Order: sequence, then C-alpha cells, then structure tokens
Amino acid sequence: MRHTGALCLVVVLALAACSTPRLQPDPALLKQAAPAALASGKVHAPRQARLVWGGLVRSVHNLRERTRIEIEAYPLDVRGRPLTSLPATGRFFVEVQRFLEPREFPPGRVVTVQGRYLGLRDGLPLLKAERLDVWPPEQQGSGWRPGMSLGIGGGSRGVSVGVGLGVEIGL
Amino acid sequence: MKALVILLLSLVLVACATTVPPVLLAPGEALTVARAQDEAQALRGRVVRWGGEILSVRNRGEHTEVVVLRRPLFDNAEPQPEGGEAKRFIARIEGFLDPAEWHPGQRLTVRGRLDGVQVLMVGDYPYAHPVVRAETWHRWPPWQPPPEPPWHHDPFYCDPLWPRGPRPYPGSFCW
Repeated sequence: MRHTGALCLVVVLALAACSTPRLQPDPALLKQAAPAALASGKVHAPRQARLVWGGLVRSVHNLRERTRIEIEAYPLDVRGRPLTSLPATGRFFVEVQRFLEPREFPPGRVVTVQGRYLGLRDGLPLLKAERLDVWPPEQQGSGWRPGMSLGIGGGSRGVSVGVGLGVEIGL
Repeated sequence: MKALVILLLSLVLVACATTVPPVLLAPGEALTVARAQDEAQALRGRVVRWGGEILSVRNRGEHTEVVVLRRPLFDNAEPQPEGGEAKRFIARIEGFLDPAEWHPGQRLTVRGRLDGVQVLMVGDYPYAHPVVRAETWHRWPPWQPPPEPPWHHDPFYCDPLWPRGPRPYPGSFCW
C-alpha cells in the first residue's frame, strides 16, 4: 500500500516535469545583449563576441560574394527557437559568405543564427554567421499545448459505468 | 450497349484527366543544376527533365525564357513545393508565351537538351543559369496544400481549453 502511494507520487512528479511550459525564454541566452540594446549604444559588445540570435526574416540581399539577411529578433527558448508571440527585441543583419537562394528565405521564415559580432552596419548590429538554422514553418511559436479529454463508457451484464479522464501533452 | 457505356465513360475520364504529355512522365538523365553549372560545355546536348517554381518570364525575339527554381518532382512529373537542390535554371521555349498567363508562383516541368549556361544577376550576384531547350513542357497552377483529411473532423472532438488553443474546425462543440 505504501508502495502504491510512492508510485503515485512518482507519476505525479513525472507529469509535472513534463508539463513545464516551454514558452519561457532561455535564461542563459537572455543574458546576452539584445539587438536593440546594441543598436542604441546602451550596451557595448566586443568585436568577435559570439552571439545567438533569432527571429523572422525581413529581407535578403544577395551581394557579390555573400548574402546579407535582415532579421527581426525575438527572445529564444531553451532550444533556440524564437518566441514570436513575445515582444520583438530589435533588428539585426547576418552575413553568410556564400550565395543563399532568397526564395528559400521568404519574409516571415523563422531562423536562428549563431555568429560573431562585427559591429554596427547601417545602424543595426551585424553578425557573421557560423551557423544558420531554419525552423519548419508549421510549428513556429509555441509548440506546446496541453489538452484534456473526457470519456464515458457503459456496460451491461452487471451494470457498470466508467468515466475516464485523459491528459495529453504535445511536445 | 455495354460497349457504348464503356466508351462514354472512357471519354469522360479522358476529358477529366490533365494533359501531361506522356513523354514528360519518363525521368531524364540524373543530372543536377549544380553539375550543369560546373560542366556546362561537357554536358551540352544531354537530355534532362527538370521542374519547379516559375520565378520570372522573359520574352525574347524568337523564344521565351522562363527562370525556374528546381524542385523534386512527384510521380506525375508535377513539381513539389519544397525541397531538392533549389537552384535556378532557364527553360527556353520557342515562340511567345504571354506573361499575362505565365507568372511567378506557377510551376513548370520541361524536358529538353542542355544548352550551356546564361549568367543573370540575382541582386548583385552573377548566377550561372543552365539553359534547357524545352522540347516538351507542362505548366501547373501554383501549389495548393492538400485539404485537411476528413478523419480530422471528429464530430465528438471537444477542446475545453479553446479559445486558448486553435479551433479544430468550425462547428465543433463542447457539451
């Protein structure tokens, strides 16, 4: 009997652990300077500092030997995915040292960039990309949504009625 | 009598079918746009079957040049909306194609012979577009995502957390 109680506790704890909301920005990534703070000059970042920013593509410019993307920044969650339901944190440029097909980066595409800070260009912070991730369009924003369903069952042969409660966790 | 019914039915079916030229259904040589860029001279005259999204249409004197972003093809030669190498090529089609009917977003599958590359600017980047002299082609309307499958429309589906979550479909209810 004591074992059953312990088991219940474990299951409840496991469920609670699963249901931690992922809508929170990653605290480690929040500590780094936001694009708007760098652009306004309130915060200074050393050149070549490594930053991880992400957000929505605004435009793509194909230059002769590289590609410059302008991005509207949003806070990132622990997996680095931009949380586009939160307020934007400014705009920035990222440069990739090769041609990128602009049709693959239409406005509104969700991307995350890891890169080196190169200073301000045209008033916006510029990153030289070391890594560029594109998030699938269908699961942008919060991918987490709890659901609940209720089932009622009945039987004959010695009347019995059952009620079931289900909890679904989308990850 | 039976033969007549069958004949009529086949006529109806033929009328309904899209008119993809049968020769387009056969795949061409397994060549990529990237290889055609690198080995433009060596691959001249090789037969390819490429398709993708139309990016622009340029009317020249005797022919029309259609710039296409290459995508993988379905079995019926129809270009898929995403994926693949996503590189640009030019489909050179004899004659005048009305740009009022041919516009970006539509899709094109062509079969023809490679004829070198042509450099067009994409922004400030000189992009070498392989040229395909189209012998057979078919144009498709812009991609439409397939409708939601009917089994998603569970009549007993009920989400008490709505409107926080997305509403599954109009008319769903909770009791």
